Amino acid sequence: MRREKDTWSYVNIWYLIIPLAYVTFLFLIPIFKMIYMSFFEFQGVGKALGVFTWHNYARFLMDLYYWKVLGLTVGLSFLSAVICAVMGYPVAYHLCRVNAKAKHILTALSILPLWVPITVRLFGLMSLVETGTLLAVELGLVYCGLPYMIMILTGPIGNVNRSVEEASYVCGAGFWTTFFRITFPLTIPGLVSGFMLVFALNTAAFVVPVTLGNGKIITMTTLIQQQATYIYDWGFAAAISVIFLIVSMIISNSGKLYDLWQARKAARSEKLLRTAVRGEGENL
Amino acid sequence: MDYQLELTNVAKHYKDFIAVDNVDLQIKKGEIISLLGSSGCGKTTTLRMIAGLIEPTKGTIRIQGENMNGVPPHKRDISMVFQNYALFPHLSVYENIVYGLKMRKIRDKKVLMERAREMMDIVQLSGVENRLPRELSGGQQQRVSLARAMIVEPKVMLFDEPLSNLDAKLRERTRVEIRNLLKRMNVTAIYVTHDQEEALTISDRIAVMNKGKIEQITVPTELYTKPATKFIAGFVGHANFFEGTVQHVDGDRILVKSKGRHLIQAVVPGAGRLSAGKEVTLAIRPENILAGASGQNMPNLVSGTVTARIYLGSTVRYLVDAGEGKEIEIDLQTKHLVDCGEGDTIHFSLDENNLILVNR
Ligand SMILES: Nc1ncnc2c1ncn2[C@@H]1O[C@H](COP(=O)(O)OP(=O)(O)OP(=O)(O)O)[C@@H](O)[C@H]1O
Ligand SMILES: [Mg+2]
Repeated sequence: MRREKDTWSYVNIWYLIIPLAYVTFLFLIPIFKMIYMSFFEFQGVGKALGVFTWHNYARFLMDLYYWKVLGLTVGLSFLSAVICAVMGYPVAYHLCRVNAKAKHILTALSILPLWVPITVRLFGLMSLVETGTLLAVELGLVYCGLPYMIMILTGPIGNVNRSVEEASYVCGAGFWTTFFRITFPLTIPGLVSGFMLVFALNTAAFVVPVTLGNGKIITMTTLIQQQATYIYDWGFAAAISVIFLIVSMIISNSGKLYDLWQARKAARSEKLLRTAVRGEGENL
Repeated sequence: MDYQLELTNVAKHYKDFIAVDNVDLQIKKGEIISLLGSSGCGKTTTLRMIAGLIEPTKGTIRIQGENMNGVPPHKRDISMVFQNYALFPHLSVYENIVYGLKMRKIRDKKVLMERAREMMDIVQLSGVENRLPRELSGGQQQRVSLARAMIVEPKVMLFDEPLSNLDAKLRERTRVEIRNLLKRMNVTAIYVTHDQEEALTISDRIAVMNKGKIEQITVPTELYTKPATKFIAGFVGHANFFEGTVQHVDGDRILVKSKGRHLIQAVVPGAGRLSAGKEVTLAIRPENILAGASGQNMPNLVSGTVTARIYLGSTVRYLVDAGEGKEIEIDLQTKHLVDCGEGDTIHFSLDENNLILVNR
């Protein structure tokens, strides 16, 4: 046993070096450079950085306009994730309930949009709605998030054992009771992860706000791009990016709050039940 | 006569495969019927049709005289123990057990708890009520699913091999408990099993299924002593078969010349309808063969070479090669042990009163 374990860790360590190097060079170094840059005065592309300063952050945090941009980004993404969940769930549910052949075809259809480049798809959408409106951006976000939501949800919904649902019917529960008491609770973890994925994808969306927002709807990503490529204030752009990064990280990890809440709820109900059962026992 | 559950000509076809073939079954209120049969013979399929989880290809199912075709499971007032337990993984043992009661609009927490505890005592689950199903052993899970089904006292209760995962002692005790409880609640039940001993002890009548058909329905005692077909004689207990031609008929007494050229004389009821020249199959239980006889050319005397001796506790089983590829099983009481081992020749006689005439 011990030997086997040693062999495995040996293999794993060497195998890990490749992705580790990849992540270091392409992800960590640029991020650290960006964080570093956000604390200095930017004096122009190719020139040395100026003195240390909090100014880049202060500028963002003291200005209500930027807060509104942040709020808009989070709000649009949140709403889109909710809409994707509501629309994607029934689709995923039916995908898991049809026979295998139909499932293949329907799955292919539901991810078909992902085969077409996003700009091409969005041009289609631009011809349908007036660009530069909140509605247009929201539509675009939902449109992009939905296939992912469906894909993620087919996993947990497909994993719900059919005989468990049958057991519920046989116990006297109808379709909707079974759905809300059995099927849905069993898929909540999947729903949370699907929600988080779509939410994260949406906050990071760039092409959607650019094409459908048409310069009138500014989100965090377009704001950063504006500062970096039009105004050439890389220090400020870096500071916005860092703030955005922190906010995204907090929100993406809030899914764990759900787990925590579940665990606490379970512990509490167990305690309640235990005391209740014990109390009953004494009465009898 | 009103039956609690009545199946008329019920069949289930999957494409051109016939899983259940024209099953007829009438069950009175409070009766416990076992469906006994080997794996894949259509027992689960029959239960699922009664539960309403699948629609029969043809035939009708009536519960208390009411046609159930097209009625969804939750409106049939039945309950079922699933072969794979099918517990609700996110609900505690207690919540699992009272689920059916809650669906029947029983909300009073006191009542729920009382009934759950009563049930948990019967299936010996006390102390694990707050655990999740995955925190239980296979046997415990099975008992939870048993409790969940029995607590609701439905019109018809369906059991799909509910004790297959318990150890022998617990299985014996639980099946007695199940029978007592069913009788006390006066609930009609169909009990699927492939364990014949279980079927014999738990049920009022046993239906033996083979390849989608019910071959015989009868009370436990008759199933063993009067099996209707060769399949049943071989499936319920052990049996030796002698195929041969009728030589002579005299009242209930027939003389048969077997393919192995043994002369067999048997007393079988209803032998009068047979006539000389007819092909028949006779069966005899291993314990109805008497060893140690001698003499030549008398009817029912056979001899052979012992090929194996299997010690079974109260009896010893001899496997005897009677020539021409015919293997015969003989059970002898340990206390009447004859002194012979493998390779020895053994003489024995078939008890003429215990030979059974079976259909192919
Ligand atoms: N959905 C299906 N499609 C095709 N054939 C099926 C289907 N369900 C069951 N069968 C077949 O019907 C036959 C009866 O199945 P069933 O599950 O009723 O057997 P069983 O008697 O319960 O066996 P076991 O003792 O192993 O549980 C089997 O041969 C099985 O392969
Ligand atoms: Mg089965």
